[in-house]
Amino acid sequence: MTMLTNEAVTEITQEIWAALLASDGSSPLLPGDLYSGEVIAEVHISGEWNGTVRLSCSQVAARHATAAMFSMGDDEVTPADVADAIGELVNVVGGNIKGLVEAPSALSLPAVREGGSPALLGQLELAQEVRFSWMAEPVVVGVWAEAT
Amino acid sequence: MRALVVDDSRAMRTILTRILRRAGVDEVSEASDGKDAIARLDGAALPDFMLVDWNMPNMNGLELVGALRHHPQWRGITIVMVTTESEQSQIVRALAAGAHEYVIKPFEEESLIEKLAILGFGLQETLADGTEPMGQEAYSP
Repeated sequence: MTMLTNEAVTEITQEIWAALLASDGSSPLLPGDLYSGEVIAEVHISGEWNGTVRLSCSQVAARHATAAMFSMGDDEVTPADVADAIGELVNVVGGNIKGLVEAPSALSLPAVREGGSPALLGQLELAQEVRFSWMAEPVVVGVWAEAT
Repeated sequence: MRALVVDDSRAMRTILTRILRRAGVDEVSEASDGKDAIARLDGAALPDFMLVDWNMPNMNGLELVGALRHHPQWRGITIVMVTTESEQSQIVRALAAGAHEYVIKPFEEESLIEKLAILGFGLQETLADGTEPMGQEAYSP
């Protein structure tokens, strides 16, 4: 039985932000109401439960998170750094969400893209979406599940 | 003391390396997947312990653990899985394959250092403000 609730997704994401970005010393991840699709990272879960976890955020948030993870300045961040860091963030978020849904299932490697419109996710339905504000920048976690 | 961090994410390798160096590990090397780890072990001074991610391209962490445990020179290396895989069955698989400990991402820095201490690697854990951390329960699968 799935334990995929809005509260669980919120708690997981906030915990990951605190653990991986704490060296930044910046504000915690707070509830927000903005949407952003400037940087989009996805992992897919397949098995007893099938779906996609998507993390999207603004360019500014992505660069700042990347700088925090690499312990570097925002101006030193390259697109490859952003892809790696935001990919790891969605990997950890997705891995923890995988722990909430039916097992066994497998997690794909992350895919990250910058710019453009969010791709449609085929036969999937939006199961949960949580919008955050981090340093006044939007961060959104969406979980799409296979239609039942 | 030597350590090898194996993770396909440079960002995660950077975080883990930073934690280990801050804790007093003398040499920390990095590998981007299982194959890269084996290439780095071949002919080099062996690490005392390895932190190994599970989901990686080319050779994943579970395959790497299996390869190490079947190698006469490498079977003694202590292995800690550091991964997002949190299913109990996956933890059992990793430990059965030969991993000594299991850390689920995201993790607290103190928790990782404590697990290494339990394995005999007494590292100096100092928080950013210079204080010693409070005790914390270790995860026991």
